[in-house]
Amino acid sequence: MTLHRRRLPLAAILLCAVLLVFSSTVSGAPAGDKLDQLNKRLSSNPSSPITLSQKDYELFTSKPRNYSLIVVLTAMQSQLNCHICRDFEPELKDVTAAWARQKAPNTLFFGVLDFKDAQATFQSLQVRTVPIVYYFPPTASATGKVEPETYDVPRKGKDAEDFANWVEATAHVKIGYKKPLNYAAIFSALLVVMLVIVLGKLFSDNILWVLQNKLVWMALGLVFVIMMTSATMWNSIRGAEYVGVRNGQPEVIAPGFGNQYVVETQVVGLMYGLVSLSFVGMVHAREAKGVLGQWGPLVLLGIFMFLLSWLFAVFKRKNGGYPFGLLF
Amino acid sequence: MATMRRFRLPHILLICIAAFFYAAALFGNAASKPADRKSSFMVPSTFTNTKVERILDISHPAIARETVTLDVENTGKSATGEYFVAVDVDLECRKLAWLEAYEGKGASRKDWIVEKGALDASNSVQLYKVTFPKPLSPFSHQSFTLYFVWVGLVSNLPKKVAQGEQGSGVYQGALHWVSPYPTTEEKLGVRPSSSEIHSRTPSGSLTSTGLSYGPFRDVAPFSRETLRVHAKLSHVPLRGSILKRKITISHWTGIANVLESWELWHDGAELVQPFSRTDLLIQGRYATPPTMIQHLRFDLPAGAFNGEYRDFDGNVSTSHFSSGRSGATLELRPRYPMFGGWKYQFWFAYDVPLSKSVGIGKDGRYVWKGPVMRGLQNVPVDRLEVEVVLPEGSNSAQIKLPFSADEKTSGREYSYFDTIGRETVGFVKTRVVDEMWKDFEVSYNFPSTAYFRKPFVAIVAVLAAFLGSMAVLRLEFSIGKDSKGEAAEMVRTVGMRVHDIHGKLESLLAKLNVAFEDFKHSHHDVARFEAARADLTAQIQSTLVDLSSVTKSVSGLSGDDSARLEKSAAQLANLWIERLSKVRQAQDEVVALRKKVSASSVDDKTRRQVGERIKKLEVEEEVVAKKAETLVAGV
Amino acid sequence: MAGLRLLNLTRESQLSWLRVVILSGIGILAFLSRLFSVIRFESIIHEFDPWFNYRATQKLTESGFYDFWNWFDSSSWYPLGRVVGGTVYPGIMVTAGIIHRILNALHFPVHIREVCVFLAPAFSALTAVAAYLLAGEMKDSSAGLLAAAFIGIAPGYISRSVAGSYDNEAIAIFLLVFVFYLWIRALKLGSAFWGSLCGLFYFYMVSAWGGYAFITNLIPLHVLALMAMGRFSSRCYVAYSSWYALGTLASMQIPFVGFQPVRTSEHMAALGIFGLCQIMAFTQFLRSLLPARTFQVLLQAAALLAFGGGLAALILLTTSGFIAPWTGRFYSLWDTGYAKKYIPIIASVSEHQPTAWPSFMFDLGFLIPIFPAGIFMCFQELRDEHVFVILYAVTASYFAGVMVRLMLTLTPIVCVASALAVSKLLDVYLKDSNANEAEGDPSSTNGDNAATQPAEDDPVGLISKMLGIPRHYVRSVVNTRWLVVGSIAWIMVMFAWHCTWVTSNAYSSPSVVLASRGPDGSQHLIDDFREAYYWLWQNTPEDAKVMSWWDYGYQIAGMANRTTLVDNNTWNNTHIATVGKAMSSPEDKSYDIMVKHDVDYVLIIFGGLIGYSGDDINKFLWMIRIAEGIWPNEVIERNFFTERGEYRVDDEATPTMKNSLMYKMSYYRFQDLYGGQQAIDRVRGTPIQSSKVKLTVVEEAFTSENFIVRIYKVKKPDELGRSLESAQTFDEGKRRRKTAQNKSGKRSRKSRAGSKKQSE
Repeated sequence: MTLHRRRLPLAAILLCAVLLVFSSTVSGAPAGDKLDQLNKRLSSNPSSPITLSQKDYELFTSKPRNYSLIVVLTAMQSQLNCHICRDFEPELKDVTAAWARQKAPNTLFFGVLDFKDAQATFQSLQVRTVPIVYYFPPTASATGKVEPETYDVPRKGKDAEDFANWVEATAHVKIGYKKPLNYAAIFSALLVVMLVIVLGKLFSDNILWVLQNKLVWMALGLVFVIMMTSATMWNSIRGAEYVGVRNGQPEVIAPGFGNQYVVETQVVGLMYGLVSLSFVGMVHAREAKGVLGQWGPLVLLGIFMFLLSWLFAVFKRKNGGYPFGLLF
Repeated sequence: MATMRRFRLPHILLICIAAFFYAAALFGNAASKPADRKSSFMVPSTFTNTKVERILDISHPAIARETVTLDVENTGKSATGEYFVAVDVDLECRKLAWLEAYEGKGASRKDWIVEKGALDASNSVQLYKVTFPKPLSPFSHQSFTLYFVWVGLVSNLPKKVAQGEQGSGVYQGALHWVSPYPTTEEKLGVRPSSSEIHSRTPSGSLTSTGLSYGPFRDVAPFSRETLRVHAKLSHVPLRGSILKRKITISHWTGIANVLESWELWHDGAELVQPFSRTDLLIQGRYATPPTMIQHLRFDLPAGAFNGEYRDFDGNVSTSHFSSGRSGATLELRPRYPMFGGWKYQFWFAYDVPLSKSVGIGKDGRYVWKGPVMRGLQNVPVDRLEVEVVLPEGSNSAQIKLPFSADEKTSGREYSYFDTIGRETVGFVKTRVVDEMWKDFEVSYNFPSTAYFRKPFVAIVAVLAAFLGSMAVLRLEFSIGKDSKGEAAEMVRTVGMRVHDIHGKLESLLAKLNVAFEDFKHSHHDVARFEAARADLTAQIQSTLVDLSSVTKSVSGLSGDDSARLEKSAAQLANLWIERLSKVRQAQDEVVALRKKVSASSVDDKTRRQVGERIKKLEVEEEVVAKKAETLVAGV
Repeated sequence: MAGLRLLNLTRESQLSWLRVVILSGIGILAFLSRLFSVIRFESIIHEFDPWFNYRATQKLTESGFYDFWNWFDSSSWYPLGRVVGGTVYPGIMVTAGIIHRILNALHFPVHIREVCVFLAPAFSALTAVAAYLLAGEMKDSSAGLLAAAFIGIAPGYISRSVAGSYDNEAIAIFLLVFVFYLWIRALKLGSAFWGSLCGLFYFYMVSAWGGYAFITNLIPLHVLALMAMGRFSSRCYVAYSSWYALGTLASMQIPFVGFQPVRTSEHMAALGIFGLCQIMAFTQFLRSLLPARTFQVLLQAAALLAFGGGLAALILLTTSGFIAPWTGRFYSLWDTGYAKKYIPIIASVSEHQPTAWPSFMFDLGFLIPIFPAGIFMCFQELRDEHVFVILYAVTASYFAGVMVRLMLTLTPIVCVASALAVSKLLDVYLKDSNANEAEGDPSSTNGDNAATQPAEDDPVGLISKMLGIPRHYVRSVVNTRWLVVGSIAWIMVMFAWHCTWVTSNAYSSPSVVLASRGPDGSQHLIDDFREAYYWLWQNTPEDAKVMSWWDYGYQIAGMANRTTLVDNNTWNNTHIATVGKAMSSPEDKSYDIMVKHDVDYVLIIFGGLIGYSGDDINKFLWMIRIAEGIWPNEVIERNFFTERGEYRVDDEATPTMKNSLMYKMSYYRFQDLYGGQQAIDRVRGTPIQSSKVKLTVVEEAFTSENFIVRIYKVKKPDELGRSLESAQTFDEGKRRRKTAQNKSGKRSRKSRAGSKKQSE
């Protein structure tokens, strides 16, 4: 959410003051001709939201309203790089199109207000996060509620379904949005399946060999367990950074007990693997003959103890009061 | 409907009774006299109180003590020793805790017998009969002292006070001492709760010790005038609504364990606004609120130890137990500071060495002696329940009390290692005040054989434990490794593996045949076929190696079936080798023939010969295959 | 051990005797190492959920089993109430109840509380035994003993089984391990007896813990794996069938489970495998009749048919709604983002957060690094039971990674696997084989001339040559065997230290009583919770309704014996959201809610004075979120954040924040403590708003010694029909006039006049 927060420049505030003065003259126009204007705007391209300007906004949102209006406040400029705004635009288009298909004129209109066109409005509305959607019900609505309701896109979800559901719930209309079938995806999926089948037929022996091979399974199982026990899930759920940065230098070990970097977990996982490897090695080195039998146990023991102690040292560093350590 | 009927009858009864009392109260004597003439008891007017000195001590709001020093004259015709004391009915049934009569004071004090007498309904008083040591002859005087202890005569006024301020209490009672006899001269002294007196009626006169009234002359019997004193309190009124004491005597440990569970009420004026911790912390720097109870100090008998302090939510850490030579004290801090109208339930326990409390009486019975209760000074207890748990094996317990109990209880309960349980005796007494904290005695037989019950039970228990552990040991054996079952199971496992391997070999052979068919019919590429065959044969060989290795794992095991398994597995391997060779020969024949064909023309004779040989080989192979099948089935 | 000669027992019985002794020693150790909290504080029920279990157990012991079975608890979830009998896993309560009854029948009049407090340690001793048996099945009894020792002291398990943590896990982990042991046993012997025994204990497990679903899915997975490996056998068939049939039927007797085993997706795997088993067995039967070649085809066809059919049926039933899809709690294990979006209550619980790697080390010490080694060894000799270990390890490690709480299920297998590894190592290095004893002296293999021609290329030789010491001296020092064994022993000692330290520092606080160290190092107990709860119990009307955040519901029921609106059994999201709304709304709004729900008292936790961080202001955001989930237009999380999106409580705080009931109740009269100067919130570490906090709809009723618990009384509606606010302002106006009149105005009379309005 913090990604999409915009601080507005002081100039905008002044601008807003000025514009408000102008706009106050426009507002309060009779509802009828506003509706005509809206329809006129819409007729050009009924299946996409109306692009509003500062003045339009002031005009159409002013009371009285005999229509309900949904205004999407967004910021499409590249320098503001609001990813979610761009993500949301097509979804909005879909919803609008779906609404256009409903052929229910004069009840609900979709409008888009971009930051670059109407900074003042943004300021006056104290918009802190974009994109955000405002719903203006008709002034003579059944609910009697005339104050706009908001839909905070980053938090409520930028998917067309969520948005459409919200509109249906608040505006009490039938949008009838359906997620368009993604033919490309289906086709590719089919392709992949067929490919798999074909390949399976061709290399059945090799695949069987792989599937029946103990080593493969062993490798898979061990890697999975090591990944899990080195808390990979935490990274994916909490979206940890790959590597931290502390006053310029990259930081591998995150400070604090409840925190970690991706690279950190990878290192730890590697350590787990090596410790286990040396451990298993010790077991087998004893039976081995020759040089391995003579040196193996000692060397592996050394490695084992060293790595384990290192692990505990790192653990101690992360966990302040921990009193123990093996070698160091 | 049924419920209605169930409830109606008692209701009606109640209403009737209430109505009756109400009427009685309304018409007073007039109404009640004819009704009660038979039952009502008239005091014979044989005495005159020539001199009455009352001292009413209400310095403690919870307990009022009244000392009446009397000088009486027998104005009757005959000598009599029965002097009647009158107590207002409502006071008697709710407020009177203790009444005693005695003569002289200090060392020469002699206690007299006081027993509850009849009810004088006409004057709505309960009579108590004081019996003089010797009857008093006419016109002779007798002076003695009556000592009353009342509970809760002082009520809070105002009903609510602020957190920081001290409450006040009002006493309302009789100005003249209510007596069935005429009184010649009477004086009254009142010790109020503090010197700060808001109001008093009648005003009387202030003295150094408090208020003094009278002397009044010639007061008629049952003359009732009210006295009202409203003064600031100097003590906080506390009250124990229930105190349960349980004394467990154990001769084995030589300890009497005492458990006291309290339900303590703060009877002071309630707080105007709810309790505010903030104010408490701020004021606390200067002075703690006077009505707040934060510490309770209990005096325990000397030598008490192992003090513990709990409530329903567990141990209360804020307590201080100190045991000295003279006596032990337990200073408790309630979980929360107590204010007016608040309640606090808790209990504490401690041990007392028996050596101090148990002795052997004249009749050779054990006698335990201890206080009825030891509570907080000037805190009356509405209901005291005492229970003494005697050691297991003791019997025929008797209890001796310093006063008449409301009811005596007895029972039996079980504790650790008990077999027949312990006899318990106890009693219940309402309205107990400091004056009644006297010792009581419990005497019981405790045969010396009872001593050996516990060790015996303990030994039996330990024995049982040993037997149990032995059973566990046995269990351990059965769980131990490589028993027959595991061997058999191992054999079974290997058997299954043999099956699998056989199946695998079958499939490999099938593959080989397929390759051969290809060679024969589709392509006639010898080299390719040879390659395929070499590969498959290698696989078959390795599988056979597997077979042998698998069977090795059972070789160590004892038991004939394992041996049989090994044998049959070996046979199976050989059969397979044979079968394979047969197949190879047959195929070789074909290959050779094919070579010939490709080289030059071949006559039908050779073809036929080859065909027959192949047939023969195939037949043989079938035979071998069958053998293998049966063998595997047998495994 | 060979030197052991007692009661001239056979060597075998000596060993088993020794095993019993060591095992019981481990059991006792496991028990004792969980008593820190009892020794430090007292024998008291810990934390939150245990308080409910304790209360339920009391109910069971007081009013008998049947009353407990259909107990409708009207004193929780007011006004809805809760059908306890049908919404609870009764295993632990019944267990405690039975133990209590037995003890009393033997004339050991122990209080039920003691039974409850010491149940978990006692069962952890049993868990050690179960682990011994399980590991014994995997390798041998020496591995078993190691496993028992590990699980006896592993913090990952101690965390949920210290004395006083009277929760389902207390007995569930024992049951988990023991059921798995029985399963392995049944599988090995292929005996219906062990299978049905397994089913029986599975039933016990189902009655004890919702985590039984792990067993329900792991055993079928094991069977499936065996099938895929072509190891399906009659033993497997017998074991699985007997377990599944009996276990499922029995488990359906628990009201809380009911028909789930045939109606929900969590249980479908077991059912499907059961069907597959039947088909496989049938084909096995055919195999003995048909010749091999035809059989291949048949088998494949049958297997495919069965699989396809079963799958189709499953999909059909699920879509038709006959089989319920995965419940949220389970689903959130797979789709980790799910809970946060749809079930904030689950997400809000701290023990449902993912696990960072230090906590793996924290909970399992050096077992985690050598855990893979154990699995590797399982792969090496891949017997059926080893397949089970591998599957268990893989699944459990994933779950533990997703939820801290499920570290619990991982712990047993980690202990077993690493016990396998360690015991393997010790086997190798304790083996007294002369060939290796001669420190790999190559010549020593061929007999006596070892001494005559010493080799120079082994460590001993090298060192002796370098230092010029005779090799037998060196050999006595540089002895691989003893070096390895010694260092392993050392590591294990360190592990014991580690576990003790972790247990005593992290897992032994009852969280009902807080311990704080004074400047002189003396321990000082902070007992505010019980102080306030007991005050509620003693000095409020019997039928008073207390509103608090759900965390404290069970404690209030248990320690204050009062009716609550919501508690830790979070079965009704809306009701919880209602409380959240009441807490986060301005006073007038929340007053309506409270009046509608007959709330008499509101209880909040506030740590600002002594810096107790787990207080309601820190939990406030969750209240808001949960409330917003139901009333998105009335409670809006964004309004509680400042312009910069900070969550603040000082003057910068947003008006919504300042006007919320929770904020007001937390800081009511908090400034007064600091006299004139700025009041500091010790948890947030910021000064609080400088303007005075005014409360109109509730009045302070009680505040504990350190302000941790604050209880407010909801005012009765004004009898003149005014809004409480106007009434109060009116009163204050009157008071002010009074004070104006008499300069030395008696505080008492003034406040009495004020109190008339409130008390009458």
